[in-house]
Amino acid sequence: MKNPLINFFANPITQVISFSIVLVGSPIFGGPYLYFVIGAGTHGVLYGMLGIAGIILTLLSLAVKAKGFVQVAGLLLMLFSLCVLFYNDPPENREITFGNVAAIATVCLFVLACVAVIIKTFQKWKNS
Amino acid sequence: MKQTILILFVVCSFMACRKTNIVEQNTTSLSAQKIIKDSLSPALFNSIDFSKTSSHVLQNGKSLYRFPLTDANNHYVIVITDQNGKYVNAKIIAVSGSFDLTSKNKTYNGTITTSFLNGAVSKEISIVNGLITSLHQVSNVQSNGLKQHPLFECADCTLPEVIVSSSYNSGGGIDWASWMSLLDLLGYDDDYGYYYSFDYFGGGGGSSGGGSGDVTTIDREYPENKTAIDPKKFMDCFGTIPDAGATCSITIATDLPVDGHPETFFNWNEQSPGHSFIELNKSTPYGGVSQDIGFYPNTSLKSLTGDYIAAKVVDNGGHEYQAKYTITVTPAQFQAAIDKVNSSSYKQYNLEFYNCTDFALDIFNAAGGNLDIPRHKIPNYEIDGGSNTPQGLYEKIAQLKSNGVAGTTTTQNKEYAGSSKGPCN
Repeated sequence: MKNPLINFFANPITQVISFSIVLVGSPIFGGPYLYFVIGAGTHGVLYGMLGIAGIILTLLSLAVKAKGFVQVAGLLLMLFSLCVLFYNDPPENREITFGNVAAIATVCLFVLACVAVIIKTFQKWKNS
Repeated sequence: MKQTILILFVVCSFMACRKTNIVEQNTTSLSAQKIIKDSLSPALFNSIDFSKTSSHVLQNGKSLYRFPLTDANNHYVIVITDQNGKYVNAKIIAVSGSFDLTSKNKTYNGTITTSFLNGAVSKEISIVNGLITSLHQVSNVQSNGLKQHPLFECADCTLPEVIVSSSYNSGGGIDWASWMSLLDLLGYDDDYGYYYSFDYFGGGGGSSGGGSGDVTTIDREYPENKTAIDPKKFMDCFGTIPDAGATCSITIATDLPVDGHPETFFNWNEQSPGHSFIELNKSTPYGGVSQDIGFYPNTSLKSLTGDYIAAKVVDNGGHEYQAKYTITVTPAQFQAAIDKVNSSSYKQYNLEFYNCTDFALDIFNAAGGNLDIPRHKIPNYEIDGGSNTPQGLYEKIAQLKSNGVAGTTTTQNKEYAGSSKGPCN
């Protein structure tokens, strides 16, 4: 099924952008997730390394043959990255993301991209 | 598969829809008309221009109706009904005022008279700079060194009840319009930020008409999980302790991003750069007052923009720290610190130029602290000379301690500040 909306949200670029702009932070400092992923990744923090690996794999899916598999792998790493962050975060940090309309909107956008990637991959797998 | 997705789409669309019962709306509109017909004098009722009636369904399900009266400009009958069209509130509102376009922030000054439907005046409300004065207790005027600011009862309720908007008209001039928070005027807490259009005039270049719609929603920013305090009320507590015989001290404290690791600039696990705060203490043998306060961005998610953003002062009683430096000061120096708290709390937060450490240093140095700390460059926000950070403050206190300066404390683990007394009236 060729749904332009699903194609748009399932695009690896959309996936990386929606992941990068998720708003996270602490009561004194916050912003797009990409800033923290890069900072944490270069300092050996797990969620940062997972995030960077997820972004690299997702972008790699643009160039390799097994696009779907690589993109889903990247997506899973991204999801793990966010899960690790929110699981380890102090509750007041989680409130920053889940208590702010703009931040929730960025999370929803990423969830939308995840759903689109899964739908598209499932369709491809079924048609193959 | 096509069917599955189609079904999912239809179900999602259906769930996203909000039920709107047009018949019910018409019924409630009629009941609003009935309410005013029963209560208004016949002369006033006959002067209503029903063709210009506007209605607005609020998020809580209530409806607000505006029935314009033809006898004067900005003269309305306002009726609020519940979901079933039953009476909730009704008032006659007459607005008279003018735009102040000479000020930097264009404002509105005037009066609003609210009357009961029988014509008896309920309230005369004066609007100064867009603020309903009765809702804001102007307690004092403080100088922040740049300009005078009125001190309002709460630090975050600074969005005026009447705001002025401008737009370019087709002739190239500017149209001005005022928008009023009617729910605030009627004594309700307007959690949704509804503003209704009122006065309008077209500027030079020709006018293009009445401007945009009848009601607009303005997002109100609420402070995040750290509750903002009114620093003046906190500082007022020190006035209850006489200067004679009092011992005054000021402590600057720093909470490192990673406990026991002063070399670490940022805690990537908790997205925290650490925190600096200040403790003011005034005591006598008969008792004393201690207040711990810190400076935060109102919306921390905006801090990475690098812009100046709205800030708040927070009660930091019980906050952890890894280093602190306490100095004993004279009552005059202590008063200088209090004045600095009152003026600096109006400043905006900026990650590079005015963060929590700058605020704490401002107050500490106003009392003669003479503390100059090593500056660090914040990754991606590297300014010449660097920024003041909690890490830099720790390094300075550790250096003072190693030089044998009295009043300095550092710890590898963490200690906690005492509790604040809180606000005093």
